[in-house]
Amino acid sequence: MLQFINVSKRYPGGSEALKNVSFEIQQGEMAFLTGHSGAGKSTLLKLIAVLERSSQGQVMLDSQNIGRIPQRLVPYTRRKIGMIFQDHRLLHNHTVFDNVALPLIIAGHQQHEIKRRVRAALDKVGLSGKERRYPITLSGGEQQRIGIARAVVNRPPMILADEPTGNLDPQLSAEIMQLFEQFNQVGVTVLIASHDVPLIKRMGYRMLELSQGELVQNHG
Amino acid sequence: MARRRSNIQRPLASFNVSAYFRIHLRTLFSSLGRFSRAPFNSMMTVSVIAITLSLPAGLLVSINNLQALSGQVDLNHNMSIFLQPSLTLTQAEVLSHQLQANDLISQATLIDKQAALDEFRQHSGFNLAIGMLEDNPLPHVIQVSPNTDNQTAVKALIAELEQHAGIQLVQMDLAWLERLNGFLQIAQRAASLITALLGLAVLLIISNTIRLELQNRRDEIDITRLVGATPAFIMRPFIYSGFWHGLFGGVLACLLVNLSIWLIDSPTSSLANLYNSSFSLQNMSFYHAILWVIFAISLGITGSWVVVRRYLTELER
Repeated sequence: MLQFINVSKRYPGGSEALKNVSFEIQQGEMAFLTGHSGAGKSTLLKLIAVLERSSQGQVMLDSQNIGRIPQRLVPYTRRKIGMIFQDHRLLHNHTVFDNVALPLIIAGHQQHEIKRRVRAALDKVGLSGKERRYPITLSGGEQQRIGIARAVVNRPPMILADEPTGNLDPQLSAEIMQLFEQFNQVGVTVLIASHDVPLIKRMGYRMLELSQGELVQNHG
Repeated sequence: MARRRSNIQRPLASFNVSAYFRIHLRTLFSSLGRFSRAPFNSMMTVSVIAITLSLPAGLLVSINNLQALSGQVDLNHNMSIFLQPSLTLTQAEVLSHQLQANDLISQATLIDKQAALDEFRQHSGFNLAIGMLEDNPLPHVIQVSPNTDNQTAVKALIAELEQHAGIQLVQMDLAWLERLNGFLQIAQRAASLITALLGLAVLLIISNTIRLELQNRRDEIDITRLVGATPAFIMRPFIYSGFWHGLFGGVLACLLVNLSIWLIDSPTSSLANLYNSSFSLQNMSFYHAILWVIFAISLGITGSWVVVRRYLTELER
């Protein structure tokens, strides 16, 4: 599903965020990406979302080198990936429903189809009945669930999460992680960046550890 | 879009035509909704656009009106022949008959100086002043219509007439009309220049409005990009916003012009009455109003397109 082959990323000015990183994540796998702040986790996720391009090496998604695809095709690549962020990245002047519907609206689905899928996604993350609320009126954990519902509403084959439990207490964090496990169980490939090592270790999935841009650990 | 070949397949839903129009319609109305949610700001911008556009529109309508005025007058080469004051009425009548016999002249009408004075007394309101005159200061006048429109023939005729001993002055009645038309041509050129300049001003106003809107919705743009929006999808609401600004600005400009004409029309009609004319100001025609609104809309769309395109190009870099 996802494969990094000798990927390096240098930023202008010389700092090297990733050094010769290689790994592969199989379709339907669930894995964690850890490391200290500045270890290169965010850069790695940005390469997958084509927010950045690698300086060297290949980033393969679905056997395609997404580091080299033309800019006009980038949006279609992003639709294959459901992205979740630590700061949720929600539209605060839109309702929960509109936030979750966004990827479907972008893809041009019909209204009744959008309604059906948004309800299903909200139901899955436990936010049924809150369609008409605004994100700001919900708790941090609930806002993160909106973000998750938005990421899965388009049924992407892969979910990327960047510190999805960063601001949540252990109880809520565990619930969010369970949600990811549920999606993984129905076949979605999941890659989660997190520095909450104790929690990850308890869950027992494969762990990729970055340190100063290098992959120092890759086991499950 | 579908012609681009790639092994990255777009979902079928984004291909079909009805989905395409659905997105367009939805964006069209949601941008209108956004427009109406900030009515004060929107109206302010629209008013600035309307006032800017109403200036050249008003100028163009004025020129059209002046052209209509000059068009009311028959463009032939009628001339007035002023006879020597010493000529008696009988001599003048003889001359008038001679002119009538000329091949180049279709009609010659003698205006007796006494009749002319009476008419002048009646219409001018200088009754008293004229009463104080000892002699009639007016000469006999023969009005002549040449039977040709040919400029050189008419000029030759004038030269010939001026040679005649009994004739003091030959005056083309419509020389002023030619000058007016010349002036109108200059005014038209000036109006085009002003239209271009103020059109550019509207373009900049709309660009600036859209630029502010872009800044306010920066987060929204970032998020929609993250979930796979194409540049076209992101640009659409802003281009529609430019469209609405242009549409409302253009319509309001036309209303402003017609309102001004309505305000000026009544004094103009009274003035025209003094000249025995039924002339009254023409409103901006429906056809011209439509053209003007289309002009405004195209400025709106162009202004927003340039700004959004630039913004997105910088983001993608």
